[in-house]
Amino acid sequence: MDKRQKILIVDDSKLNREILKEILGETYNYLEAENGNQAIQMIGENIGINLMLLDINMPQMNGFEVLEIMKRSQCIAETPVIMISSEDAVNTMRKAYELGITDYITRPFDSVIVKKRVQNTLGLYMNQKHLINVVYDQVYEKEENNNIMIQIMSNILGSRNSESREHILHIKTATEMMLRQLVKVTDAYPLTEADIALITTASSLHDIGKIRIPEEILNKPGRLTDEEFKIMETHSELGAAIIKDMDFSQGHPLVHTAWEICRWHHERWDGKGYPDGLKGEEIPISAQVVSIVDVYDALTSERCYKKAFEHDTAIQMIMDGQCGQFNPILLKCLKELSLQLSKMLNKEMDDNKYSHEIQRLSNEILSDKSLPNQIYSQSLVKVMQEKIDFFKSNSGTNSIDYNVVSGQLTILNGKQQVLCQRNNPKFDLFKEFGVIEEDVQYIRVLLHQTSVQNKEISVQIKATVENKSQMYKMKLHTLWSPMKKDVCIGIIGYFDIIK
Amino acid sequence: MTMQECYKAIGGNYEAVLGRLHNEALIPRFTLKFLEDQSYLQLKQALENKNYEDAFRSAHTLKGVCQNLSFDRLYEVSNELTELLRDRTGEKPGIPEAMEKVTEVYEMTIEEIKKGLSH
Repeated sequence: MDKRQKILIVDDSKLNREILKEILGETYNYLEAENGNQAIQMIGENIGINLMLLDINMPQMNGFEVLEIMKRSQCIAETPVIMISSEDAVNTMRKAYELGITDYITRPFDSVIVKKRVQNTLGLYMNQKHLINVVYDQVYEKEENNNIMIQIMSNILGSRNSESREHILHIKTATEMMLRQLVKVTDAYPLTEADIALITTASSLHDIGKIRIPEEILNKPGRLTDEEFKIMETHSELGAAIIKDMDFSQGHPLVHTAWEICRWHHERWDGKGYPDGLKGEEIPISAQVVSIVDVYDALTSERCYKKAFEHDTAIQMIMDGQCGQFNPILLKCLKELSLQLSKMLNKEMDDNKYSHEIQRLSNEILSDKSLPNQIYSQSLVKVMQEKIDFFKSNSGTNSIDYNVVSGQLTILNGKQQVLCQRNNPKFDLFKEFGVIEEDVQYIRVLLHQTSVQNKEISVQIKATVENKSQMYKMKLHTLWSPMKKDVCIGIIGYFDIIK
Repeated sequence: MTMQECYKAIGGNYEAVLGRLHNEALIPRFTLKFLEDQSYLQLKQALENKNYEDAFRSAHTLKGVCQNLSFDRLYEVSNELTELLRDRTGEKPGIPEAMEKVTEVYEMTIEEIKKGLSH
């Protein structure tokens, strides 16, 4: 395989492309595009392009349109662009920089300077990617170690009490999810990424006090007596005491947070919790979050004294206040996370669980400059998989594949023959297939209502396909950016004759 | 005829192009490729079709190529035409005259390059 770095040269003049290739020499592997459309398509198909040299004035799609698409789809962060043009107006150059280019070279150019600028840009991106990988490895190792320690601890607690093993891991995951949701919905709790990581880690310790609870109470099948219940309740104070008695610096944020969580994770918003009867915001947000996810996990897990409740029932019970009162904003978060939490129960954990931490550390190292997303290519693969899965389950019918980013649309019939292909955004697809205006409006409204949670729509429409006008059922599946919230990147679908 | 003489005949700047490319061997290679460059033909076609969008672009490309190769004379005339076409309306006065000049210099340039390379 060719290991040379790939440079995509986008210029409508063959001569210009050849001059660049001659100047830059055999060090690189070249791809060429004659216009913006081709360039965008090549970026979509060749994931590993290391650098793009881009002209401005080109037929079909000019350099600025290319940059706009790259900016929208975030791949400008992944692929550096050097613009080469004889336009030397300051406004043009400024606009190009604003759209995210790394460098601007004006014609006529000096061959040595072009070479150096290309080398420098490639070098910087290599360094940055290398740095991300180093950070990734370190974070991975740190998090793995952390997780192993927590597992060991969970097992020690679990050896006395069978509930604790998974419980601690669930609490950790759900705490992190809740904190992220909380920062998303309100500015009231200014938690940084570091705070979230800290509270998440500390949440694992919330039940350590149970180590000092007698085994016959801890594992008693059936209801505890009032007296036994009193003893059980002491686990929060006991846990806090264990932490306080240790030879740690109590001012350390992790120690302090763990102490708060241990002591107050059974407090309630209305002051009816224990041990101190704290009320409302007197309870630190760390303990508030752990207490609500603790209740959720207790409800949805089987215990020696009870069966597991269904996810929906558990959420409803918490909403109804059957397990005590919670901060209304946390109830809101819990409700919004309902779907993800139910997945967590089914062990469908997020496979990229360290990405937040990696991003945070990387950003910190590069003094808050946002980084090219190392997971961009991986994410693309995920979207591809989603497409393949969709078409696999709907094979043998007419299929639709629309890329919002490039405007590329392909419609195939059941025999994989092309019915329609275009990359002109102004093209009126529905007219082509004789779909009436009302149906078009209806489809637009339905598509507008799709979201990451709700990706598919089904409609019945009248259309003319291969000269036959009849009723079709059509299913459309929207594809969403894995990187950016609420950005639709494509629509796939199929349509079939109603029999 | 040497490359220097060829540049002189077409009103180009050999020292400038050598100064930028830093490689004597590249100059005849690119000059030869200029014979295949389509931008002049595209420009001519676009003006005949009154397609001023394409005309602007081709003129712009021709100008860029000339800049790269330091074909100063052809650069000057194609630059003038590019500016007349920049608003893409074709309404600026003097376009046919500017195109005539481009054609004249272009044909002369091609002629001289062919002569130069055959020696």
